Amino acid sequence: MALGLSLSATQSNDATYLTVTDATGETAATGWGVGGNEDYTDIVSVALSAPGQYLLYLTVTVTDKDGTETSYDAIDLYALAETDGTTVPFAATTDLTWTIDASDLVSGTTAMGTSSDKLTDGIYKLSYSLYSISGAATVDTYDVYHLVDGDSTIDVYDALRELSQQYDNEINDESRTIMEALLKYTYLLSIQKADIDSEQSRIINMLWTLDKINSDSSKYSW
Amino acid sequence: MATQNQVNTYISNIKSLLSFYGNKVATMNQQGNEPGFPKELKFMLLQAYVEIAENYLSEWDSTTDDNYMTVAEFEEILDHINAICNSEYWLDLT
Repeated sequence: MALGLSLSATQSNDATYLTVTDATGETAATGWGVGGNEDYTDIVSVALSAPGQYLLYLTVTVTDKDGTETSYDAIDLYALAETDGTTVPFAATTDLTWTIDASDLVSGTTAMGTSSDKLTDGIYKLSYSLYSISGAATVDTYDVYHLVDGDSTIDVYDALRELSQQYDNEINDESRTIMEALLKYTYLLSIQKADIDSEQSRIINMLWTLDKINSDSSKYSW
Repeated sequence: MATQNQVNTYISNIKSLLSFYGNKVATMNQQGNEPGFPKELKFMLLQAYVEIAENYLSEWDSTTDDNYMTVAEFEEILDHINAICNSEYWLDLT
């Protein structure tokens, strides 16, 4: 059976990076090196490329809260590992994990941000692909969607944290502040619990609205 | 500094506080003694603070600084939980 790539991703709590990890494995029939499948030990960078070897890429497309779609240049994962100090050539599946920050996401000559900037909130389409140099063709591509909502999450958590702890006075005098924080929190939970594959337009709509409430507050008088 | 066991115990304790508080509000409702708007609001806030604490502590690592907020800010979350529940659960994360 042919190689079947797989990938998982998690975002850091401070919203500055994604950790993407190969989930292809090497035991199933679709795994690395199984039954003559391509092997991760033969992966090189574009700079090192030679016949018989492979290139491993991650292409990221971000749909932000405004619905604007930005496609970033393909990331050469061998070269990224080399830069980040990970073992190369890849010698074990545990080497197949990468940290992607805003400086790694470059569209033309413009990066999303610096390595310490927060990632833009939105839906990230991660396309993980293996390219055969000698075959001059893509061997396999695996697409997965990932919600990045760290910036919004931090804003909502801050709104809840900054509430007065004098609840009874607060509730009597300033219930609006509490209700606004709870409304933001409800939006956040709804975004996080939505199905990333089938409810993307709803997620984007809620992200946009949450952002507006975070910056301008809601229109409710409470 | 708190050990992982202490972190786990803390999470267990605050989740227990949440169910205790929820049960109190539910019981007041069932007995026809409406808990009132403020107590219901505090119940909703408590749920949020418990979840923030769980999420923060699931990624807590004393050697890195990549969490939702600083340790000092997180301690305000612990204060909120104690203020709502009139409890004194605490974690030393420094």
